[in-house]
Amino acid sequence: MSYADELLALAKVSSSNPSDAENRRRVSTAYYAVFHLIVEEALVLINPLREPVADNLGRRVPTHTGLKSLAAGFVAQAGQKTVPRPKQWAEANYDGDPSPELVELATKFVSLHSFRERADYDLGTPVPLLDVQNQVDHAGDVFDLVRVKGVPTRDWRLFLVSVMLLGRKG
Amino acid sequence: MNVVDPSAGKRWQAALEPNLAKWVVSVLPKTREAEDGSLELWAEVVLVGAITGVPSADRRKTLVAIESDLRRIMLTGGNYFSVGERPFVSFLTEEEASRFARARTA
Repeated sequence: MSYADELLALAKVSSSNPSDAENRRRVSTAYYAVFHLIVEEALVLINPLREPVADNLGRRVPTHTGLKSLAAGFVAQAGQKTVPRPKQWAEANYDGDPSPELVELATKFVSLHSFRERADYDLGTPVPLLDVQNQVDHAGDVFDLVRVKGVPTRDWRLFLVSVMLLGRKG
Repeated sequence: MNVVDPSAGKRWQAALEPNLAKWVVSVLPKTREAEDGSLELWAEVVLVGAITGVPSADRRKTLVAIESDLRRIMLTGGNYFSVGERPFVSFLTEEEASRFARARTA
């Protein structure tokens, strides 16, 4: 079982009367499960032989803010007339529409990122149990999208290359 | 999160599919500035307490459907907010909403 899978399994565990700290920890763990899943998928692409030192180097490339910024490029904005895609793809002269699967994955990642910020740092704002369950379910959906349903290959490879090449930038 | 125009929430709620609206007590719009400075528009959705008694798979389907419908409504629902905000949805039950409100005033 990978580290990402273990984190998702931990996020799914809930006591019968959870404390605020437990709710916050579950949201944060669900986010980190997805973050590490995406990074591991990117490492498989750029380091197919899984050379350990290359893996360690690669794991240090994507940042939370950089990956969030990349993913947010796929999320529709109010008033936007065109299909959303990250500015970096436009700068690379790629104007293909992202697949619905990639848009769903990116949207759930950004939602998880936002909730994780609230759960870890905004202690004045309560974290309702329904939100915890919903975000943990979102994390599970992302795992299903990657492992079971699959994001169309070209989209997924472009996204993962972007994670490794652009994921450090804000 | 800052409150935007509370009446926008009523319009979003009214635009929900009827089979989903029956679960929704209220919708409150809020904005949030993320760590990276981007703007997020949140619909804080209070659901009837009975939602917690629904089997988890059916509850999941209901939350996914409400979230999807609300995001569609928020994207196309008029000029209640700034262009460029990305819409997201947050859920709580009416019991949690009351408990959190009491905690704020205590």
